[in-house]
Amino acid sequence: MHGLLAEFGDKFHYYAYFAIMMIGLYAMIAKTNLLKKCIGLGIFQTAIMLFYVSIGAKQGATIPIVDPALGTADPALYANPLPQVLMLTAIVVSVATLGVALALVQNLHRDHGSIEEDEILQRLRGQ
Amino acid sequence: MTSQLPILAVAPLLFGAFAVTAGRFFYRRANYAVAALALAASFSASVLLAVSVLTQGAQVYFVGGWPPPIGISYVADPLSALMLAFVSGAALTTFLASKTEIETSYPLKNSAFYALFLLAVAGHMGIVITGDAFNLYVLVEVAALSGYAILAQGKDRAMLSSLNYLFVGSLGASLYLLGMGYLYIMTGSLNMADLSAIIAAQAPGGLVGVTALGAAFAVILAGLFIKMGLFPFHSWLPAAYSFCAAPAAALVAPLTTKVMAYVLVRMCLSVFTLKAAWSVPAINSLVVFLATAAILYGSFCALAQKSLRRMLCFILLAEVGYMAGGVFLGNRAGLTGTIYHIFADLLMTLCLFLAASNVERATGGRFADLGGLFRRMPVTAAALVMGGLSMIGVPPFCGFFSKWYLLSGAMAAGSYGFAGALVISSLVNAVLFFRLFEIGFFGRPGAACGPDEAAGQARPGAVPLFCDEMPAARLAPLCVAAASLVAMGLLTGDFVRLVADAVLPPGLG
Amino acid sequence: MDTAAVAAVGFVPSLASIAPLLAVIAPLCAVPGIVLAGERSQNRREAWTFLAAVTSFLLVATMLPAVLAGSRVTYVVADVLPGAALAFAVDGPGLLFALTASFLWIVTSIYSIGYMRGLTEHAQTRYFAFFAVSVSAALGVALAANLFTLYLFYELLSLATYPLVAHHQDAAGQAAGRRYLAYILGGSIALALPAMISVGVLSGDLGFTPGGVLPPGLSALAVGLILFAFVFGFAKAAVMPMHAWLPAAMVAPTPVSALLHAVAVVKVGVFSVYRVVTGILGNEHLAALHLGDALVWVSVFTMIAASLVALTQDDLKRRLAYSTIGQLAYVVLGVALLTPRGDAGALLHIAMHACGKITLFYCAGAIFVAAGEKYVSRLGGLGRRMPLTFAAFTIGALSIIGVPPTAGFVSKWQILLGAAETSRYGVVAALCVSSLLSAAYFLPVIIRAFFGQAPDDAAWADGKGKGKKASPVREAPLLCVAPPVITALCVLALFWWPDILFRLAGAAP
Repeated sequence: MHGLLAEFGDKFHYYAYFAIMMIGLYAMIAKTNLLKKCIGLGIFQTAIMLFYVSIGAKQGATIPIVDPALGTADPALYANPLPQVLMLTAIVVSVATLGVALALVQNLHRDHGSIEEDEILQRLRGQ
Repeated sequence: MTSQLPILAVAPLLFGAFAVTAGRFFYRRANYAVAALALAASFSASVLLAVSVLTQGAQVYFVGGWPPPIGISYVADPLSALMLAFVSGAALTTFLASKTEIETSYPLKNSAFYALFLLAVAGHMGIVITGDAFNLYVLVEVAALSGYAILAQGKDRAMLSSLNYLFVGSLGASLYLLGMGYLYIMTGSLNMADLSAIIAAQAPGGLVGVTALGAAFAVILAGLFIKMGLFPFHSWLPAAYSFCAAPAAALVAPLTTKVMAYVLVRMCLSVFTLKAAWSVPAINSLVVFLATAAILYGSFCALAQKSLRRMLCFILLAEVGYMAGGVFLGNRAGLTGTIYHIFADLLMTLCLFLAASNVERATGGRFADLGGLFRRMPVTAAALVMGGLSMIGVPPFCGFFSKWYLLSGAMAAGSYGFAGALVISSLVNAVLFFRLFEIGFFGRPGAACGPDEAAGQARPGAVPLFCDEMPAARLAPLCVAAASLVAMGLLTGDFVRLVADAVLPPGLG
Repeated sequence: MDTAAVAAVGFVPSLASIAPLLAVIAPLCAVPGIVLAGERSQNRREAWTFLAAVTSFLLVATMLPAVLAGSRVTYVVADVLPGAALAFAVDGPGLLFALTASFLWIVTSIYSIGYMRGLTEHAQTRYFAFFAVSVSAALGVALAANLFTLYLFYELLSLATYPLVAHHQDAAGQAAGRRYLAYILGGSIALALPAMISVGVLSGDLGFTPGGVLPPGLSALAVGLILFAFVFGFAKAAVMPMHAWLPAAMVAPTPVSALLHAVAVVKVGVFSVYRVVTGILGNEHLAALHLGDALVWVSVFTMIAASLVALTQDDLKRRLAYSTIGQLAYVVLGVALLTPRGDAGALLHIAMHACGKITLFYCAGAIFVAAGEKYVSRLGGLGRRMPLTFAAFTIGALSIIGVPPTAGFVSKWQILLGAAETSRYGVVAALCVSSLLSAAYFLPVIIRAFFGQAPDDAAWADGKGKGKKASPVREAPLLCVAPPVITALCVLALFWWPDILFRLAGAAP
């Protein structure tokens, strides 16, 4: 029991990211409101971004911007910048995806008057 | 100049997209020409690159001059160089064949379509040539986003199907990103060549001992299968490709699934070396099982369809099964079959979708309307026949040779289920296409296309020849695509020698 | 090629020459000429066909001296697969088949002109164009160097003959076309293709080699499965139960039935079986595994059953179709004996039966053109009105029965001797029974035609002038009567002068 709690405590953040990912996945699959699906996608992608950023974290390290007081001699004083940079790119991709998704949702609303997937499908089948 | 060719294959497309977007305010009428010029420049650069690589060996280009593992490298080996040429050639062919179709399907939004078209092609080209695993993710998303936007215009359902594709596709790409994350944790590098050396050092006995690498492989595979449309992650594909306008389908269908299959091959060959990729028997048998299911599912669903485009979409699902299964058969013949099939299927899908777009423009595409097609549109029908025969697997068309290698691989590996599915798929394709040819040969034309009322004629021979055929400018690219099926078939020996044998490790059985 | 001499010498000198490729391509080169001449200049179109026929025959004949001297004429077109290039290699058996097919094409071109014009058939351009393609494919099979090339031309032949079988574009044509493709394409894809690939995987070499290419040590079950997959997969050989397409294909115009279903298509089937048994599996190998007996009994069953069914057919062409099925079983039987004499008899029968059966089909067509009759029961007394036609019919029938002095006797005698040599007296008895059955279904036709009474409503009934035609029935047009007379004379000539054919077939006279 103690071992299990220690295990959970050590790797708490990984379990949290996984839980967030599953919440996002649930929203994407189970919700019929298209905007909620977009939000779910965002949550899913955010979990992955959190995971990446956590890769670069080091105990006692500061943000990866050069601090004149600390100097550049010891890399262990700074968090790894590469995963953070990669995730900046991923955030950009996520925003672009969200933009396209919102444009599509807006067009669907204009054409069908609703952003509920089942209502739209009903309307399409009726035609 | 030769050293700059890798970037010259991709850059004109990006600049072209920008120029076309600016151009809608300045020189709208010239936009088609500008886009075509960009595609032609990209195609020429990739052909020159392919020739250079096949004669002199692989080339590496460092983007921005930064050497790996710091910078992004573009690697042109025989496989990627030839794939570049095929992708840009297919895009150019589609673009040239679809001029009038684009103007009819996207009134007032031509420029937007051209820009998205160029971006999508740029994304696919980048996917093929990049040597950096994260850059691959970015370019996959670039290609995918342009694809979602292009596929959204069309019939009623196109928008919703494209949104659904967006959700599923983003999920797949995110899974790939997650897998990349595990790889980065274990190796600290993102460059593919570097990764392969480090993985080989860390997992000499295969992936089974190193859980994180095994998990990375599994998650990356899941992401790629979603993007490829492998059963059971295929549900987005038929809807997304059938409701969009014809030029969009003719662009996306030959490219996306094949480029993702290329990425699968690249992952197994160059990132995780084959030894590691084939080291988990559970994954091998599971993937072959899914591929078999994909082939059977795609073939039998295609039988139930009543319109040409939907039938082709389901056949596409079966072809994805061919490629995925071939990789995990575990022998040289299977992998050669997949590599060859990526190129062959690209050509076959191009030919069939271009012919289908002509048929849809003339008749609407439902089987009931295709009566007497051979008399009404002889050239298009001939191209449809050639594409169909290639799908069935009749020599000397290229489809036969991919079946040859895949079947040889399946029999050598003892995967008789996969071999049986391949044979069944050929038979079902024969039924599908000959059903179509029967309607075209025997059926009476539904709507009169001349002064005579077609109904009541004793034989379809009374319909004037060529009465529904498209103009020559639209047929020429289609004829080139159809002829390439035979050319690819006859050049199989050279292809396997120059491309497959060059990238596969020599001692592979 | 004398197989005994080959065994003694151990190798066959090869002569590289482009003649085989030219002979196969010659008919294809006529197709543009035929299509462009079209319906507007029919004489020019027919001239193209005739020119192509004569040219291909001459090209085939140029290879005769080299082959008779003991060498093989080879040509490699494209090295497409390891161990199986697209290549031609002309030896005695191949040249025998090629000569038969190309000579009879010349005669059939003359006959087609008379028949199609006599009935003012529709779509004659399409007919002549696909006819040329079919002959080209048949020559390709004859001259093929390996199993892959043979399979390629076999499939092309299936596809090129479909528009000919379905020529009339009515419901019967559609049903016949479907059955045709179901058996032939289905057999080749489902059975022959996997068998061919198994051979490729097991041996890596698909060239026709005396003694076969399979490695030793395979079980009788494995080799037996491969053998029967080929025999049933090459459904053009019409071995029961893969025979049902042949009577259905009789709805095609008679020249199609004559050349293709008496000469080209069916002979391609049995020739393929010959090549597989002697060149891929090997006579000695099969004999050691006792597989020859199984094939012998399958062919004997086909022979007898087909002859029995022929007795019940009233439609003349269907009766001839079942007769063909029985006669093809003779060839398979000769091959199944697994001896040099059996092989020689089988090859000779290809040529002899072709001449005899084509005469019979020509006569059936002439009867239809002149008198409009298709049924045996209605042919009474017609022989007195059409003496030349029925004289040719008699000679053809005697050849099928196997009575000297006709060609059919020569080949049947060889097969009979072959069976007796291997002490298969049951087979000898079956051959005699089959000849008696052939007499039973042919002689009544002849007797009724010459000595019988006309049916009441026939136009040639003595003393009555009513009927469909205003004038009494006379001999068919010259172009329909000359070909059967020519081939009937060939039947007689081949009895007296069979030397060249004997040498090509490798028989001891």
